[in-house]
Amino acid sequence: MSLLGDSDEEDNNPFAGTSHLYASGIAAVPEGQDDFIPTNVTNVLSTVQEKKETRSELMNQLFGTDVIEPNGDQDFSVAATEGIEDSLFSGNDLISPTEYLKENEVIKISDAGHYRDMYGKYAIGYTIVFDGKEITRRYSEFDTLRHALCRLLPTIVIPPIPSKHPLIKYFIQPLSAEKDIKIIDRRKRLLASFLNNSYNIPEIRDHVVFKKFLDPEQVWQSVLSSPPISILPSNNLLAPPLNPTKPSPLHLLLPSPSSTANGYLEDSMNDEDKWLEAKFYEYEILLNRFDKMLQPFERHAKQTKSHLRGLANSLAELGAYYNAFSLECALVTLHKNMTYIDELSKGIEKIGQAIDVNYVSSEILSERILSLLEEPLGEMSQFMAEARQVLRFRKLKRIQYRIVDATIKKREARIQSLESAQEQMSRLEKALKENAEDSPTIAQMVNRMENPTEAAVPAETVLSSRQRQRQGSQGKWTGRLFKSRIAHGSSHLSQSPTGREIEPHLLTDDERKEEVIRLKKEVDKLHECFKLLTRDLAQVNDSTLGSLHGLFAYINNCWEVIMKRMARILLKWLKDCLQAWENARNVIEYITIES
Amino acid sequence: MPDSTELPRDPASGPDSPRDSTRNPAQDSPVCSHLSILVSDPQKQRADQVKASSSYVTYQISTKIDNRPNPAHRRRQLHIADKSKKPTDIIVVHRRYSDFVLLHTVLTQDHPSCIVPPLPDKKVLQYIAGDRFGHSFTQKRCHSLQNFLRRISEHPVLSQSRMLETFLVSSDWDAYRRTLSGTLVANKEEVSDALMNAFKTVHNQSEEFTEIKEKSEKLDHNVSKIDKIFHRVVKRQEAISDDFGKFSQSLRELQELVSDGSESDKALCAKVKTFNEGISQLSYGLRDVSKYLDYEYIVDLKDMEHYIDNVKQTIKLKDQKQIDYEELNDYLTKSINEKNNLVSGYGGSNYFASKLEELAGINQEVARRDKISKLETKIGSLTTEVENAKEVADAFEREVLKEVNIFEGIKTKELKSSLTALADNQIEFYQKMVDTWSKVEQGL
Repeated sequence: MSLLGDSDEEDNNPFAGTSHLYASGIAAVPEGQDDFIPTNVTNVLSTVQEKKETRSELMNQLFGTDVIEPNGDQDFSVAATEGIEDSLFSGNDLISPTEYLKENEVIKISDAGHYRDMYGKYAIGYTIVFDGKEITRRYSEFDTLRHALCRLLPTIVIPPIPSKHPLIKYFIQPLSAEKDIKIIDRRKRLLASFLNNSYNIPEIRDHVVFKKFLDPEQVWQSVLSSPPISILPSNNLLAPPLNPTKPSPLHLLLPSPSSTANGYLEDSMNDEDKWLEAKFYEYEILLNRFDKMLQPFERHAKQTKSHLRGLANSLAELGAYYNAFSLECALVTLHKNMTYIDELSKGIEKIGQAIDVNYVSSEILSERILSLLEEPLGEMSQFMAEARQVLRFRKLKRIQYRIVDATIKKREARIQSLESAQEQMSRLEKALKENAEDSPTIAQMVNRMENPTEAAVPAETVLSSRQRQRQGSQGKWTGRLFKSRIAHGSSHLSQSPTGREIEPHLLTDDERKEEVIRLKKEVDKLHECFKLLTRDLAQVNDSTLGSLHGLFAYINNCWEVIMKRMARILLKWLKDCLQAWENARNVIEYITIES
Repeated sequence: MPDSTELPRDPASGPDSPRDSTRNPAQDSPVCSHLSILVSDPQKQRADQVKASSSYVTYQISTKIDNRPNPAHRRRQLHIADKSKKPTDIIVVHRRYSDFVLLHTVLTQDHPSCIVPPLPDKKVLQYIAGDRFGHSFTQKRCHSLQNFLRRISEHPVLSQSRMLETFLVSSDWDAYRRTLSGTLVANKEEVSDALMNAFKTVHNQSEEFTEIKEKSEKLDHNVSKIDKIFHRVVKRQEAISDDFGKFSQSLRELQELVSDGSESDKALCAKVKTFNEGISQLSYGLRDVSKYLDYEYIVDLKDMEHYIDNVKQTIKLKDQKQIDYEELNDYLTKSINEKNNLVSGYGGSNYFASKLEELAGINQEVARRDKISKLETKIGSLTTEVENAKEVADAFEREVLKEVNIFEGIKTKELKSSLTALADNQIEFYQKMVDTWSKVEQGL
């Protein structure tokens, strides 16, 4: 645990600078302890529960950080006014506005209103009903939950929550009850949708953080400041993808490709790899196309909504004027005409009523379009953005994998060239020795080579030539390094020691040996990393594919539900209007006409 | 000028034209009308000879003579029946707007006390804009002209006019018109008089007319408001229809997007398709409703406004006659007072004047007697004039009251028919949409 705690403090680029740092990092790992497989979650849980902070500490934290939500002095309940609206709608036998996409919601948000949290602070709380228990959470808590989930589960498409209310609005209009009701209502719907969508994803449902969120016993602030959230690594690429709070030391050695890194094209791919890549590519294309389609869709929904509202307003006015018209429809009110006038008046009044019904149902329709079309569409595009994040993570992971792979290959090639040079040298030495036995001249030269100080001049030429060579190779190598840097992005392992990679035959025996040993050690670690990454990548691929698959199934289901709901409300609207007009028609039929 | 017989159109197309269906409720209504008139099929005509530029639009008028026994109109029925083979025959003629204007002018001048239904505006703006052959313009005018003719045919006096009969049935109308056109002098007298008296008000307004005036103002106000708002409603409905159109486009994209894939995708795709069909139907339906509202119902409302305006004009004319009478009456009273003063000897106010005359050496007594006799003849003629004026005013008032009642009848009938048409149109739309969407819902 202490190791993990330390690692949390670590920079995500621990090997920046010197080339030796990673070696020391590896050395710090005791043999056989680089087990990165997540330990039991309950283990963490128990430690968290033991680590309950004191009340005063929490209060400090809360007051210190909590400035986002507006504080209302009056304790009015939004739900009260909402109730009226509800009854108004239910009176028309319509789907209640709180009823959302899911018919069988496991989690409901039953109420939203000002509440005073346990520290005496006012905020707008959303009462969640789950499993027979009630939990009140506020928007900022939902926000932090989602944020935590995003980091805890990088391979899962986390359902979106409504966007943050622009802070500036609080300054302009601190608390307008009417406006707030709309915003709060919208949030209520969308937050309930978020919770249910999350609940339907097994990875989230079973996650301890999510469970704690729905547990009335838990104080959210302390959940946030305790593991696993508190020990999240700052870079998920340097952690096991399915459980980022348990990075092995090996994970810290991984390169972290920059977020701008493009696709790392590789030439060697087996069929399964190719299939996978194609699959992900397909998903990416699909996401883009969906996004492209959703944007105008959302715009049209918004437009239709506002036009319908405008129509409803005009119809309301029209209905009022028809009513006025019905009262003043005749010029002469002679007694004998009274019955006719009355009939005509009733007829006109009925038309007015029909228009009123038209107005009310159009108004309701526009509300429904907001909650049944506009909001789900918005949610969908948020989902798309989320999915893109997950795909990006996978891509980076893949790049990471390729970088390590490439580095291993490079290192191995270097070892090979060093070893072959060594072999060549020993062959050469052997040949020289054999020749020296024959030729005294050669023996003398060998002798001079072994004791360079004695033969200053030739040694110097050798040295200088070696230096020149070294310089030349250095230039060449930096050039190559530069290239490789571009290709790999900033990576640690591929960061080849600039001064060291010299043409193998220009190194001394010892230097070669030393480098081979070092490289072998490095390659060993790299192989370990690679093994780790292979497993990670497989997990990421698996999990991401599953999540995306689930997402598209969900979205398809969403469309179905949207269409079903839309058809129902449109039908309701049409039927109501039809009924009203038929009534009007019948009354008009009774208008008798004076002959 | 082409004669109606020259027009290359099948007369039978008139009553069978699509517009007929919306009119049916009105025609079938249990009204004792002897003429059923349908104006339809506006056609652009090119003046083929001299003035190539002066094209115009003709409207087809189909007149059906009702067979319902109606003793009051028996003569007329027979009269028309003589011309046609069967009493139920539909007579089809073609007239242009200026023909309607002629009819209107003649009727107005022949029946000054009648509230002659108004014609649609000349719409000078459209002439300038060159839009007068546009579909929407001619359709609206067509409907308005029909309202005009129907109103006349409902009017007990105007419907008996020979001019109307000629207009509706004669194939020699063009010749008739040509002979008339030069001789017709616009009679604008009443209007200018009415303008002169614009600032005078009637002193003794009868209660009935006070009420009528007040109510016609209110009616006018309401109808014009409704007209205005309906205009807005039409605009909004069109916008929504557009929205649904775009929506449908987006759905098509969605359909494409989910079409390539597994079985479940295919099922979704089919559902999107069904849904989209419903949406486009809704879009078309809304557009049709808007068109109907724009071309017919709003025209009805506009015509109603104009008709009410005419009522107000006629009442103004009545007022003017009354003002004439009241002025005369005032004058008479004044003269009688003057005479009385002279007879009694001392015209209190004329004391200084008489003194002056005395000083001037005028024989006061002679002058007085002279004056009295002058006044007496004046009073005599004034009295008859006042009596005449009163008779005229009263007669006019009675006429106008009768006219207002006739207007009431026509208005009620018209409102009924236009409201019925409106309701029918709405019911048709909603019924169709309910059917469509019930199917859509089942398909989902």
